Amino acid sequence: MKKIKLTFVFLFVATLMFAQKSPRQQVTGKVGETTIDIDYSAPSVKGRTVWGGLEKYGEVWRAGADSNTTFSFDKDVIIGGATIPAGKYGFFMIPNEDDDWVIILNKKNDGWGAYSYNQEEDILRMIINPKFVKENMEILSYVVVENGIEFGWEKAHVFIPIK
Amino acid sequence: MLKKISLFLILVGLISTTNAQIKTPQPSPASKLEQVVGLTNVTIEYSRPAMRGRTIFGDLVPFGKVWRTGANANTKITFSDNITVGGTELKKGTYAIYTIPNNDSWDVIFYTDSNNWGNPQKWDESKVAAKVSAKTEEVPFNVESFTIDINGMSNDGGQLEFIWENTWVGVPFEVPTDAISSKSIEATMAGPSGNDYFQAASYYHDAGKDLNKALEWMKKATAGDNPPFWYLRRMSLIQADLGNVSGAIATAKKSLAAAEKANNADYVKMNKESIQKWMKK
Repeated sequence: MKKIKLTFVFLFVATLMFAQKSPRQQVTGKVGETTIDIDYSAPSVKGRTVWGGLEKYGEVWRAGADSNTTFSFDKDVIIGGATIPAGKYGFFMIPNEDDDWVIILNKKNDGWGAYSYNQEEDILRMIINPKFVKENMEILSYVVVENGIEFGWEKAHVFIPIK
Repeated sequence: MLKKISLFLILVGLISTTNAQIKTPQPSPASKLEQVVGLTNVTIEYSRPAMRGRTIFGDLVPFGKVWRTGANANTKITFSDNITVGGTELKKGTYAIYTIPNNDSWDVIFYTDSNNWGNPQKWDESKVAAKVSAKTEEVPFNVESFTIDINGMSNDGGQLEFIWENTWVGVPFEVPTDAISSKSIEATMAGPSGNDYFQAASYYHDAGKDLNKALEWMKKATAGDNPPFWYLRRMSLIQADLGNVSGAIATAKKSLAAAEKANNADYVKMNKESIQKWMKK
């Protein structure tokens, strides 16, 4: 009987570990009066080449893992000079080699990855200058800061200014 | 045995002689053209065949067929930025130029595979990045050598021109000068953002440069209400290296709290370990 119990505990732990391969994360914060919610899955580097390897250069990326990353704004915001109406959007990135990256807000906010991404539903495409540091950031993370959203993974850091 | 060796040596000698480069003029000499258009570099590499008394268009170069648009290897064009031709965006990079000449217009094709000798063995339509139709104009005299040129430059574009025999074809293209300038102006005028300071401070810290300067920048990067936990982590490491252990612990605690809020197990662990280590000092 004890053995069975142990097996169950083991199975439970294993399931948990498997389920947490890229755990789903919610972060929230305020830019001025606007509340921003970010919902994403956080993959880990695990010794892999991320930019140009796991995530291909020049291709639309879900900017997380599993189902697409979403940004929600409870009021209209301004990003890159464009007014974005309050709402929930799919968030994507295009990493590029030795070049600027592109960030995308798209109407479709419930896709699996970028498979159902359709450029015609873009609300915003904006050029972003990624910063690279030597230190590795193992787990992908988003943080809402007082003037925008900060993204970090592996050695790349992206700041999205929001007003 | 000796005989075998001498035979071998003679053979080697023969092979080297026959392989020696003999320099004679090429019938279609190579040409490389580099032209700055706005802020974009455009490079064209091609070989230039000559008329040598032949009828060219509709004869040597038949109408309605893909032409390598030069001689020898495919003609190459390289753009240092994304450009627009005939309403289609071409990503920066190198393309082969192929044309389909006709009596009154040409199709000009930008082909993504630029490593062919002449035409590709098998034409692959999915490698056509842009296809533009352009009207031919008549030149009132014969141009002996096939010429590709870039003309009519403005800040925002230019014209790619093909001239041979008495035919002239021009394909206008646009470069993103305004977008590049506005972007760099905007970025410069907006001043450094948090991640500019973070990157600069990380670089100074990693390279063992002025740590006080690095700390000053990290203070600017983390001045907001809710700085990223990875910024705080870096700041605590700089403080520790400066010998400010109590400051390092205080900053690491902030980073720990923020990493816990963001569920980042990796930074939670690193901060806990650092705090433990610094507490012993």
